[in-house]
Amino acid sequence: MNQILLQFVNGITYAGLLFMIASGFTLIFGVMRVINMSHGAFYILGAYIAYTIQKQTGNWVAGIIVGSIAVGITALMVRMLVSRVKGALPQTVLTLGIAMMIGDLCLYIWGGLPRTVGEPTFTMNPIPLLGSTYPAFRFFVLALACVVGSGMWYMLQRTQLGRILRAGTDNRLMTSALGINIDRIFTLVFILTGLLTGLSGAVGGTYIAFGPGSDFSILTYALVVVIMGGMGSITGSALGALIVGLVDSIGRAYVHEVAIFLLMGTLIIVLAFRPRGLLGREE
Amino acid sequence: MKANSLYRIIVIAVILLLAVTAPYWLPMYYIQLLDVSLSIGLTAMSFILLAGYCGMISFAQMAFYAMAAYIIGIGTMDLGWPNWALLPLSVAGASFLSAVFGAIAIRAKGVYFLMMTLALSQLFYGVGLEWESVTHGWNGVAGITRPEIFGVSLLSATPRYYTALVVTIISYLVLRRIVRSPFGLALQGIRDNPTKMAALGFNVQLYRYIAIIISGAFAGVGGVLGVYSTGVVSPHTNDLSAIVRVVLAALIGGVTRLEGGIVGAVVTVLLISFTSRYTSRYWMVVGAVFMLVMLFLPNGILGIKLKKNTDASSRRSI
Repeated sequence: MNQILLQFVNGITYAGLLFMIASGFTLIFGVMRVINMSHGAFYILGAYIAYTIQKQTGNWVAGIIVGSIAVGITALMVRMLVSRVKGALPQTVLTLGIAMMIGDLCLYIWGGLPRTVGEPTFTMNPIPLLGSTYPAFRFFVLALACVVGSGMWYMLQRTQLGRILRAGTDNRLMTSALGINIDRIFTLVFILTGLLTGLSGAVGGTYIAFGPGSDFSILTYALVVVIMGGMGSITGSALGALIVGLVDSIGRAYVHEVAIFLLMGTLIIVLAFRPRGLLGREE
Repeated sequence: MKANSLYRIIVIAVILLLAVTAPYWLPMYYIQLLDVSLSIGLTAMSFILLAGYCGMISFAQMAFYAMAAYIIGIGTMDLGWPNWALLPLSVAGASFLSAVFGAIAIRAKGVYFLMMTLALSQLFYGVGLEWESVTHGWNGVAGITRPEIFGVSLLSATPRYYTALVVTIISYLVLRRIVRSPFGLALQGIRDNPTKMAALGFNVQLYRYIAIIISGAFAGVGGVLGVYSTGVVSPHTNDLSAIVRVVLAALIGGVTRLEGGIVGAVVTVLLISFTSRYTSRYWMVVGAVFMLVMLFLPNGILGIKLKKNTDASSRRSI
């Protein structure tokens, strides 16, 4: 019984990380209709930079901050390249080339061995849970995801920028016709996503090991979460992350190597009933 | 008109002559590269069938390729099944996988379709990586033995190259027949104006679905050629760089013509081979070339057909 509960807690903390990864991805998609294929590359770039800074200075928080900002700047550069091409499909294909380059750059700088960012001192002591102990850092990830989620919810629902973003998601042409500089909004969304994904990379790199190839698997999880939850919806991402996190953790604990089929099956069942995802809307 | 067709015949004859005589004047290394190019080119043609003729960008072609390759690899090495059974089985397996993926992705259009096929393809990568008892995980199946054709083992490069050449030419002719048939014309009509085609009584979704399965089968044939040419199948057969290789081949060759896939594949494989000789950062070079192609040749290569699509979808949303 405790074992099941433990997997449940694992799934929920993992879902926190997945939500942080997927929310930036879905934000870009919602506003620009572009699938940012370099999303996984953003993640590992943030993780690697945080790894190096943490190793040099011993300060985890500094690593997280530098990692986020560096990826934010990278995202700005990607945005500048993407804006050179017209149309969502060519833009999407373009980001694939960028993903290759960032991935290879990381391989060049940091080599092929898997790495983990050193844990911060404030989560060193495990938390007693269900008669055993549980890594405190995982709870920290969950708490951070809640903060990020509430922050995004507040921004989207209560601020002027959020209203513009939601309007842009609904109808991009109409929004720019109302005199809003949609290009500047796109740039802002890219930077925001970069910061958020760099942060998820730095935090996720402390949670689970990463290395060459992680960019690909992170992109997979981001895609599955976003497709399941409904593309462009932040609440949908939270829901999708929760489902994927739980299915993946429980699957890995009980059916081991065929857990991926469980994930695939869940995705297929969701799409069979809700072709646009759980909270997705018709185009 | 007559001069034009004569010119075409001469070009085709010269290319065929060069291709057939290649083993006599090219070093063995290049014959192996050409062999690999043919398997990628065939898969790129299956990509072009969907992208150029149906307006659907599928990133799952390498999953179908890998499915066929896994069936050959596991069937030969672990199960010891005979080749005459494995060959049709592998193409059937690739078609089956495309039927499953197609059933899920078919309801999505444009960039959503790309997203669905990418996600499904990546989940298939995950299956290859994690279902270790069957797929042998990260390392995959290596040292796969090749069959013999008319008493000649396909282990040596020259007979393997000729086999790949024959299979690719036949596949090309079949695909060309398909896109010029009433069925293929209907697909192009659906690409340009699905609403009109539906009004004319065409079952738009069924046509699209059949096109996906056909392209899956040909990607599977590409996978069979690929696994015989490298002797290895692993999750990397279907990773991001493998997808990039096929898509780049189709982009360089031009998604509007089937034969572009073969030309693009030869250029892509040679590019990777040359750059890898000078630097180990060849994926960065490939990524850069990929970006440059998208940045500076969007209309000539990918733009025209795709732009029509995105325009249509944005018009609907007003």
